[in-house]
Amino acid sequence: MTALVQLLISGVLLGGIYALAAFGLALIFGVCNILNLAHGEFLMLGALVCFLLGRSLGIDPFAAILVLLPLFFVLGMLFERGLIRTVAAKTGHEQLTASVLVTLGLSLCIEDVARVLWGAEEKGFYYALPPIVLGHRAIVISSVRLLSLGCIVGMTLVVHQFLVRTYLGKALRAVTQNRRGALLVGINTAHVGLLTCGIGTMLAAVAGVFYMLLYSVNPSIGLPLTLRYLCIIVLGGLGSLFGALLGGIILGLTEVFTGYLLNPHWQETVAFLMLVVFLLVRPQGLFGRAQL
Amino acid sequence: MTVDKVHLLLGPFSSHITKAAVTVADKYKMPMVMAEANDATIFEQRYKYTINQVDLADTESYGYLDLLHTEGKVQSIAFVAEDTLHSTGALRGGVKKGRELGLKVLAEEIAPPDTKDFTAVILKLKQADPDVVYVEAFPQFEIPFMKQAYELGLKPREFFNGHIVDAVLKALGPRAEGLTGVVYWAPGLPYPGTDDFVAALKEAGIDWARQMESSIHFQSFQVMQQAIEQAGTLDPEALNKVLHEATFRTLSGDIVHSEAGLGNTCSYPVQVQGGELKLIGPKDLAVVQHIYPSVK
Repeated sequence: MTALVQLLISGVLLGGIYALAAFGLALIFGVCNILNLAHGEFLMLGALVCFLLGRSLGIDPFAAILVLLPLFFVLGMLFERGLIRTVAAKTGHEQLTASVLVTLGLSLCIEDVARVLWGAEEKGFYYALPPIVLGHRAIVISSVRLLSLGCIVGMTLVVHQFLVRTYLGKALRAVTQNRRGALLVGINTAHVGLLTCGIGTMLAAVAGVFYMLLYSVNPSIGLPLTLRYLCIIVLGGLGSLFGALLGGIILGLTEVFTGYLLNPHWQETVAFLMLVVFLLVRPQGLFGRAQL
Repeated sequence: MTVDKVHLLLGPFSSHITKAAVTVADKYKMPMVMAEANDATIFEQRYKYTINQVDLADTESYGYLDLLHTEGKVQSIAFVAEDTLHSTGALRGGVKKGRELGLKVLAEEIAPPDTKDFTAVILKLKQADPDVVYVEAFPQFEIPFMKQAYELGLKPREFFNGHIVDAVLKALGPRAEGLTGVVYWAPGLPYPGTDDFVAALKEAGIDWARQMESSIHFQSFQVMQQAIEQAGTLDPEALNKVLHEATFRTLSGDIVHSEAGLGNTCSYPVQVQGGELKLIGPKDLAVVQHIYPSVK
């Protein structure tokens, strides 16, 4: 029973961290219809900047988020203006091919540049917070993970409120649901795309801070993470924010329980098998794209 | 090799890359002095033109386990390794040696090298409650494992990290104090070449704690230099003969090679004390005493 509770807590926390980065990917896909394979690289860059700020200036990782938010928002907008807008202007098969090749190329470029600038070795730091202990050390909850989850939930609520209550958020949802319809009612879709890439990239960078807090980073983590986030948003329903959250939590729980009940080697296999089965049964994912 | 007409090859880093490279050396009958590769599967092929310096990965834990046995304080141990050639070899040998020395081996967990969440493994280790948790992996595995072990309250009496390199120590900060590990050279060893090695590191701007494998590289250069001096020629066949038959004096002790090219440099146990790696064994070479239990 103790193990079950501990696994549930860890799985949900892990899923929450997965979800934050997956949000950004879901948003960019939903609005721009672009499969951004460089998304994981922005997470890696966010983690690296957090590491460098901590090492060189002694800035706390949670405080570093305040620096990363505007920095990566601008970087995301530059990404949209420089690459995504041109690709998004294409149609059909041409757009899909271009989006995969352009973002994959960017991903490889960022990885190489990061390796040259900051070295290939593993980077990490230990963020010391005493764990929460329940029942004579039977259940130990990591305070760092709990704090991270709190921040992730907070950010999710802020993004949700932005999408539901503000004009820009409503415009963003409208473009996701029907791009042509949004254009007809006077929404500036180019502006919305710019904003979306800024927000999506910013969320990936913030997820990088939590990634650095809990694990460690090196320049090559980006692409494998992107694939994982892609699975999450497909599971949740392409373009759905809540689908991404639920997909992340399902993946986190599956990995943690598989590692415990079977073997860590089976974590990814079981998770991806589940994805395949799920997509065969419900191809549109949990929420589909109309729910954003 | 064929264009530049080289006489001798220096091997690459790690067992899995070397395993591919040695086939080239054998194909062209060109002696290769391996630098940092010691998985058993490389030597099973019985290549004729390759030698290495350090003993098999399977023996990597021996120095540390012998120390524990001599001290007689540790009763049980749990092994965790990433699924790579070197690390699984070290786990295999460690488990065997541990049992021979009378230690209870309570767990043998192997996980993929890109594992990031260790909750499941840590829970199993908590239930096993060993005196020592022995982690054999590279930093991308060791760092998140150790961070999560601390976060989730895994509390053995001691942690051991196979690659106790600078990246791990920096990532763990003050929590690295007391960590144990093994190295193939450490300050304080009384063998020839230490001053030259330290000078070479200084000149190259390399910090030993950051690039610990540099000592094995230096050993390889010592072996190459002595092989050329003893052979008196750069002929690959003559060099290969000397490499396989001579005894070489290096900064980590004397080396002889088996017919399969396997060297005999053993690992030396170290512990982080006062923020620095200090030699804790064997007893006659130790610079400081092993602090146990070391997890507060």
